[in-house]
Parts: sequence; C-alpha cells; structure tokens
Amino acid sequence: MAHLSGNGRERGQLLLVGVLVLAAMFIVLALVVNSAVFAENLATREDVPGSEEAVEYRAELVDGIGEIVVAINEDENVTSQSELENHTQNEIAMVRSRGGLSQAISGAVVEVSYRNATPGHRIAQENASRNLTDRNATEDWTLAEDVTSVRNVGFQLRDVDTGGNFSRGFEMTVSNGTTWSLSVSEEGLTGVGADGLGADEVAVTVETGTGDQAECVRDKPNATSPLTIDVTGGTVDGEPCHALNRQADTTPMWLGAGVGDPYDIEFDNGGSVNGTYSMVVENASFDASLHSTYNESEPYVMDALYDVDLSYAYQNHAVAYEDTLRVAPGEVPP
Amino acid sequence: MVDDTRGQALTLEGISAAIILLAAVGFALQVTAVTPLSPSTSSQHVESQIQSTADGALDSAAQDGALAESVLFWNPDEDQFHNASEDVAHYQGTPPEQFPLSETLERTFDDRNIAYNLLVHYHTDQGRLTRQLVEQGSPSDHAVSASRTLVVHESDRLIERNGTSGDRLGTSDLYAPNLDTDENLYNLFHVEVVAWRI
Repeated sequence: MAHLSGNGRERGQLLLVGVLVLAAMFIVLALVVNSAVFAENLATREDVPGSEEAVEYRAELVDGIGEIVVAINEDENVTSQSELENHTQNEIAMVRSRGGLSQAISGAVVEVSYRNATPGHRIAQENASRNLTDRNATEDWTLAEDVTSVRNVGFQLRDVDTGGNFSRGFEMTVSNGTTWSLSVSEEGLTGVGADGLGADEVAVTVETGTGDQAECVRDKPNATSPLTIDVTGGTVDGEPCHALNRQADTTPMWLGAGVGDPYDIEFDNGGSVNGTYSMVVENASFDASLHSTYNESEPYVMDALYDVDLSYAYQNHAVAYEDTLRVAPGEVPP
Repeated sequence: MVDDTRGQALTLEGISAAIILLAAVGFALQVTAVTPLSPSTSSQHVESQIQSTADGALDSAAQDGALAESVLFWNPDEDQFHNASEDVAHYQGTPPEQFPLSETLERTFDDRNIAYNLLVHYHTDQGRLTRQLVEQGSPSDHAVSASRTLVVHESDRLIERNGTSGDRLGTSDLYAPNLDTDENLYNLFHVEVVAWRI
C-alpha cells in the first residue's frame, strides 16, 4: 500500500487521483454551463415556433378588412345589402390574392375567405356646421329603438355652446329601464371657474346605469380643431379618456355597460353642439327623425354591414393554423 | 537522493502532465463555446429584441395612422416622397422631421444604435414591386425584418409636405396603381422594416 503523501518516489497515485478529480470537475462544469446555454436558448424561443406570424397576420387581416367594411359602409353609392356584400366579397378576394402573394414570398400559405355578414344600419350626419337635432330640428329625439348592439360610435364636434348651464349639455343616452349617458358641456361636474373648468375647456362626462360619474376635460373645439370623441374606442382627440373606459373604482366600462339589450339611443339638447357623427347599429327600428337615404346636409340612416365573418387558414413550415374571424370594427363587449 | 535510472520516466511524466494540462485548458475553452446566444452584436437575443421592437413600432404606427400617412407622403409633381434626398426618390439616412413615421423610427431605432431600411411593397398587374422609403445602408448578415400589411382606399388622401391631407387617391398619381377601379380598395401595401445593430 503506497502512501498518498510522501517523497517523490510514491507520487504516481496522488497525481492520478488529482487528475481524475479535475476531469470529473470539468465534466460537471460542462454540464452546468451547457444547461445554462440551453435554458437561455429555450427562453428566447416562441412557445410554438412559427405561431407568431400566423397570429400577427390574422390581426393584420382583421384590421385591414375592418377598414374595408368601414369604407364600404361609408360609401354613399353603395346602398343595398346585396351591393354591400358584393363589394365586400370582391375586396376580400383582392386582399386574399395580393396579401397571399406577399405571404407566399415569406414562406406561408394563407387562405382567407368570406363566410357571411350580419346586416345593420349606419346612422350619420355629415354636415359639420349643423347642430345635432333631428331632420325636423327637434332637440330631444330618438335615433334608433330596440337596438341589440352598436359599434363605431364617433363624434366630431366643431362647436359646443351650452350657455353656462350644465343641464343644457348635449347628451347621448342608451337606455332600457337603466340609462347610460354621455354628455358634452362647457360646464363639468365641478362647474366653471375656481376648481372647475376654464373658459376655453369642455367636459366629456359619462354617467353609468349605477349613477357612477366621471369626466374628461379637453380644449374647447372650433372649426379648425374639432373635438373628436371615439366613444367605443374610448378616446377623445386621439388621447385615451378614462371616463369612457372605466368607472371611478377602475372597473372596466364601455358604451351602454349595465344596460340590457334591446335599448334605445337618444340625443338630448342636440341644439347645443354642431358637428358630425356616425354609428353602426344592429337590429334597430327608425322613425321619420332620420332621412332613410343618404343626405349630405341632414342626419340619415342607410343599410350597412354590422359584421363580417371570415375563415382563415395559415400554414408555414412549422405551424398550421385555422380560425374563424369576426370583423366588427369599433365594437364594445356585449 | 539522486536516482540516475528514473530520468526517462520523469521526462514521460512531464510530457503527460503537459498534455493533460493543455487538454484541460482546451476542454475548458470548449465548455464556454461561442453559441448564437453569446453576447455580441449578432446575438440571437439582440436579433429577437430588434425584431419585437420593429414589430411593435409598425403596429403602433398602423394603429395611429402614421404608417398609412407615410406611404402616402408622396409628391406626385416631382414623382418622389416629399423632401427626398438628392438624386433619389426616397430618404437616405434619417428621414426629415415632417415624415409621419420619423418620430417613431427615431425613438425606436436611432436612439438605440440600430440602423434600418424601410421598404414598401405594393401590387401591380405584373406582380409585386418594391419601393425604398428610407435607406441607411446594406443590411448586415444578422439583420432582421418585420412587416405589416396595410389596406389603402380610393377615398384616402395623399399627405402634403406640411402633413395636411391632399388629393384623393382616386384622382391623383401615386407610385402604386389603382388595382381595381370598380372597387373602393386602392392597393395593398406591405411596409417592411429591415433593421440591424451597428
């Protein structure tokens, strides 16, 4: 039995054990470092490789075809449901072939096709210098009754003049027993002056069915810089407005939240503001307050597409993805 | 204690020790191999980051309309983008302030030492053509690309030099043709950003 330590003569075994220990250490080190590299590699991968492109192009299609639907609805020369559907189908076919070509160049096969559309109506006024009364200049009036859903509600107001009286504020209400309302006024919830609004400001106020109130304050509009309220998008002049998308206790909220359908949509004090507006409704009935064909100077209602369903299939080297898309731009949750 | 018979063994021992040492150093170097994830300008991390940033920039620009305004920032009289660089129809280097995407591009790329080219692909009856929008050089081998599809209608308008709306597309000349005059759809654009770390 050799000694592990000792003079030069018996150092062979010590050297051998030392080298073995060193070798084992290096192997362990290699494992540790490599597992770190592997973990890092995994961390930078997608959950499902190739899925990002499929979902991304799906979103691009929903946006793009949403714009197509908006443009066709706004086209005053396209008046009947069948024309609306035909134009939509033709344009979707163009997107399918041209967009498909671009996707093919980047290595994916995409199939998108029209399935069906839900008819609806578009209510609008395009005369920016007119007030928001009905065609007979009635200040308090009903735009549509028994509406099951509404989307893309937008106002572009050139003038707000409520004459120093909060109760004269222009109001849009959505009601069915309970009432959700949006008002635009020169006076906010806190009034004018001191801690209230400045003389060159207006307030956009929302009151929900439960009585919860909130307001956003913006500069007073004029002919060159209108007040653009995207009610369903929750923005005023392109900036998010908290009053349009959440309650005081930060619960998410949107147009008509808490009001069961079918509901009525009304305008009150339409004489206090001037400007344009547009909205698309589903399953509604209208009376003689609106022109039933396109009218460039007074409010009108026209046939429109409420939503469009598409089937979508995407395939590339790594993933095959299929889905049905529903395109309804500017829709709020039911 | 001198033992004159062990010289050869000691020599061999020395040589094998040297071999083991060298092998150990070689192995240690192998352990920390240069992988695609090792920190460098061509790291996969950097590429993924630039890719995501570019995607995000395009998405946000598409959302607020700046992307559509950029492809329509066209001067039909001079057949080039407004304030284009000399002798070309596009922008070389950093695009001018008036260019609708310039702020987004500057914050996303210029501030992070990332160079980029901006291309716009559009369709004609002959197939898909490409027009350069911003040119900052030849992409390196580790460049990434992000793109976004954009639908443009006849009712959309060209954007003037000062950012206001100009003529309707249906009545003016753009580099891309009107694909079908019976339909409101004008053309389908694919805006592509090719970006790389410098």
